[in-house]
Amino acid sequence: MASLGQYLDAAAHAVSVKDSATLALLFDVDSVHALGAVRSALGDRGMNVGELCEEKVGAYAPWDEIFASHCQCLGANAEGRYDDAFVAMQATIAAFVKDFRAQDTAWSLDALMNLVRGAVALATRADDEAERAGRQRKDGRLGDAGAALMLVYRNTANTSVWEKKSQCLFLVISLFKIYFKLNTLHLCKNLINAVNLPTFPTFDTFPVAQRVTYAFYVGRLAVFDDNFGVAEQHLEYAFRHCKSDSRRNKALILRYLLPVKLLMGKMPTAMLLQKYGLGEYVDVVSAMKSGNVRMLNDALKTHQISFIKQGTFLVLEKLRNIVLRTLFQKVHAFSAEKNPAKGNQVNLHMFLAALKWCGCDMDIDEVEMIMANLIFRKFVKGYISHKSRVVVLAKAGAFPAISYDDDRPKIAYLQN
Amino acid sequence: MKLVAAGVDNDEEKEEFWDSLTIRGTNTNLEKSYFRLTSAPDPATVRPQPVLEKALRRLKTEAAGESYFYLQDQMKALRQDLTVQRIRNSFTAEVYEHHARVALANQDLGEFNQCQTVLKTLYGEGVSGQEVEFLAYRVLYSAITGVTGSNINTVLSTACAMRTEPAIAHALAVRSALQDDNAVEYFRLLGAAPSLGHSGTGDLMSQRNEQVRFRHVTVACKAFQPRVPVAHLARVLGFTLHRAYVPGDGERDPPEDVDECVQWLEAHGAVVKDDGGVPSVDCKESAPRLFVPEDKNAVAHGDQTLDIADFMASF
Repeated sequence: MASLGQYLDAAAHAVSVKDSATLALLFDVDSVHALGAVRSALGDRGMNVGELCEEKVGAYAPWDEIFASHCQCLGANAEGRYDDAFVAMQATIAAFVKDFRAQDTAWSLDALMNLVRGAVALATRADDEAERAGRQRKDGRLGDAGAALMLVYRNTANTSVWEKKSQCLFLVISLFKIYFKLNTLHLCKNLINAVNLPTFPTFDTFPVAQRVTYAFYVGRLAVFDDNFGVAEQHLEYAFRHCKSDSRRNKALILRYLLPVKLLMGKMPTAMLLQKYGLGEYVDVVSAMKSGNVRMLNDALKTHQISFIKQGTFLVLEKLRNIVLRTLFQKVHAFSAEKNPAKGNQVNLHMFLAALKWCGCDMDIDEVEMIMANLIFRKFVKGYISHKSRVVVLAKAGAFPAISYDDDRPKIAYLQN
Repeated sequence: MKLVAAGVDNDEEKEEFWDSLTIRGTNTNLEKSYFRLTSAPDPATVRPQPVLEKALRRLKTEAAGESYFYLQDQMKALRQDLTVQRIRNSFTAEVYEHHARVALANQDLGEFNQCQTVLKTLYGEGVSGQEVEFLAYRVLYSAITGVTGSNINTVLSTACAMRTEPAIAHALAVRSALQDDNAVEYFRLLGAAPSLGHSGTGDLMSQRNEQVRFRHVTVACKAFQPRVPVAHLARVLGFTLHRAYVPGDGERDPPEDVDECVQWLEAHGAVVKDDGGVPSVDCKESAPRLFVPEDKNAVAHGDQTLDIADFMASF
């Protein structure tokens, strides 16, 4: 077990020769060695950390200050005082970034990323601890971590040193994770704008895992904004590039891709649902294929809590229109067969009967209203003659294909 | 090793500090007008909780028929007395709940939203009150003001867990009906609003009536050809049969009274013709003419019941 003095000697050496890997190790808050070194010092009442740092690392100012703050952080972490550890970490990062900004290479970048990871970990521990203790200010520290990450991001993105930008996407997705956890999704928009700037490194230069995660989050955000074309492109990209042996991640992506596909009238195979354990969608898909509105409503009700938790419930509700249209198409086919001469007319009472058969008890007023909505929303092309309670369908294209902002160009960076 | 502990948790010390600044009121007047404070108030002007309780009871009973301006004023003074005395208990909840309902009854969504926000915090602190009723209002409020996407999810999660409560189930059904643009179901639900002893649900929903109706008449003019009888629209738009709720109204007229519907339709630009004795909307002519009229009763300062004498008396 190393002593704190040895730890600081290693620090001084790493700084003097700009040893990126060692420095990164030294800044890992959960590294066994660092914690061991600190624990041995905690027992020594006579030791003054500040003085020791100045003695060992003083020649490489401001690193003495940075390490002094970091030792505080390590000590608090070792003793389980996570809130104190986090506050010390904030100071460490602030001091580190100041030096980082002045450097003309990115040699200390890996160490900085370890600090970022540490900040998030400590913030989460601090918030969990506060919640257990019943204190207010829920998720307070995670929000602070977000602010620290933004500081780091700004200093890695706005620079002429190209290598400093290599971790920008990692920072962006770390921030996404925080904003999703805190439900402050509106903060994601600025990050997406930043990624789309020409000064941001080409998307393909980043590791595939980061690209997949990024596409996943942007896709989810697009789903929340009812931006289904954009959502489909991103989630498909994520699914396509996600490693096949990462089944859990693939299932996660599908969980959001599926509702989008369904909204476009594209059905998954039973095999796909089974392979990725998406049992909640079996009845939904079945309802869509058969046009059974009651089945859809029941499926949504049964899994309501899971769907709401996942954030897909509101999207799935929109499937009702498609299911109604499918049912109406069947009624039309049946009616046209019975009466070919009036092939483009459908009596609304027939539609009412079909709905009743599905278990939907409505009166004719409501059926007319539903029909009117379907026509207005362009799911069906035609008009209603109220007097005869008949829907007159357009001779051609009575059931147009469903599209969502299809006229927008394909997104360039997702085309691999 | 001496580690300087950063950010010592001083909650207890902070509590004592605020306690020492807390006012303990001695005013016994039941009525008090609201004045915005610019410094610590004189305890002689602040009413202690027992007096406030009597004041609230008075506002709920004898003074219930006063103008909104008066009630608003009194409620704000009540709230202020609670705030400066740092009283945050079930009585505080009762005050905000009453103010919220009064605001709804007077179509003051802004004030209502303020109150419901405070209530959410109070309930979160463990204060007991009418949580179910106000959770239902939160669902309705977000549905009616058209909150979308990620923001509505949190309300929905909470509500979903309690969907066996009739008021919550009703609110969720309203949200669903609005999402589907199902005017028939919407007005049916309006008529079947759960009676929680207050008219809050109906008041809140009624804020959306106009939009639901206008959307449907727009849809109808595009989807029906050549005409739609007013009687059908009157049923779908909640003017008849489903006995749409009207705030402050007494008994409704006998069903199938289409006059009110005709009036509404024409006020929105629809062209109503006589189709062999049956009043009907001419779809083709109406479609380009539909519009949302300005609220003629709306006043610049927002409170239609404001009497000039009241306003001058507040100085």
